[in-house]
Amino acid sequence: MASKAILFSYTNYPELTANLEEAGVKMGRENMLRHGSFTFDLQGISRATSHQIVRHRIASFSQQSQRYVRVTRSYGYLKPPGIPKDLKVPVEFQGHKLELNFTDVMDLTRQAEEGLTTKGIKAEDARYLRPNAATTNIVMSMSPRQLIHFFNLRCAPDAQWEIRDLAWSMYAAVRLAAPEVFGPLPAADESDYIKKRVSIVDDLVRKEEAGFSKTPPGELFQLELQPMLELVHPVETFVRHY
Amino acid sequence: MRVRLVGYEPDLERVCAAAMRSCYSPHPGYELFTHTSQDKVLDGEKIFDAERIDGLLKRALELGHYDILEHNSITWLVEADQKEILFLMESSKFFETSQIDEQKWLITTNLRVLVELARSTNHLPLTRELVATLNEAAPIIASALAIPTTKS
Repeated sequence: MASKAILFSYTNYPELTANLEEAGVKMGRENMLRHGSFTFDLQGISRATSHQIVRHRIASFSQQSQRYVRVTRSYGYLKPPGIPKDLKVPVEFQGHKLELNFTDVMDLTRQAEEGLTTKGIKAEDARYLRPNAATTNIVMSMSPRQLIHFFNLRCAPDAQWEIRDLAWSMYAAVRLAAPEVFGPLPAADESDYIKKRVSIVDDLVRKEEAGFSKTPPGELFQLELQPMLELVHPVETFVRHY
Repeated sequence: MRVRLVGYEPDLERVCAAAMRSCYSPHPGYELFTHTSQDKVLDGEKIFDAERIDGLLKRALELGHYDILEHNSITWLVEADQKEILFLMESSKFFETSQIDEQKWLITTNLRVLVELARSTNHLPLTRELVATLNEAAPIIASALAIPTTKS
């Protein structure tokens, strides 16, 4: 199942600036960066990536619990595209030599975790067997200023492929939702890699603006990022239209 | 004008309730957020109607599970002196302030901070007025905390 980034709640800047203008106050872009919030629902991302995401400050996170959501109801994993599906590695277990691929190991850990819970072990303990590839869902909110910091770091070529793909997907989403706030990334000045992709996002957003504005209020609009952005893995990207 | 509410996200309480439930559900936040009728089947989940949102938010208040109330921003234009603004900034890392002129400020925070201010014992006139706007931005929370609608 593909990962998803859904921008489902965010500051309505046209309304905010209109309310301020009514009170005789003009809101500049610098102020917009600080006075607002963007909330994403990130679905089906690996725990490896969610660990990287929750390092960012100031931000707010609500993540799916492994204690309260049974493994049998929430199990999934993300195989890094860099590991070939049929690549097997030799392992030795109690004198038996086995050849296992990535999927085999994930299947074993799932069976072991389910087995422990079946034998009455609490989910909070059985989950210690869950690998970093296990998928999770997380709701995340940041101000525009923090998001730009996040994009500068995580859209960079040295960021890991999964969080980098996610960061580009989120960047495209906020560009579409709030063009008055988000423009080219400051990091583009120092990186041709970022500069090239920012310009691809420019084109994508320009192309999708009309479709987005026609989306009924409250409905999701899907942004097609591939093949233009050359993401390493699929991230379905959606923006809720107000 | 002393406190003028100028912006907050639509469906702010529904967003917080969905974020809360997403911690304990196999279903992700947005699926819960839009689970408004029987047409959409979410195994094991109750319909996300007003009653459900009310129940989840009141539970969050009982448990002190305030972090789920952070998924939003609320912005006001206020007339205040620097001392009052400093008090707000010292009360939480979530306050963002911009000075418009000597007495006028743009301030932004989230629902969590307002709930904490509402429950604190230090009720400065400015915080009372900010908290009173919960009646518009977050009526379920305002009702649960019995926030007076007047500024007094």
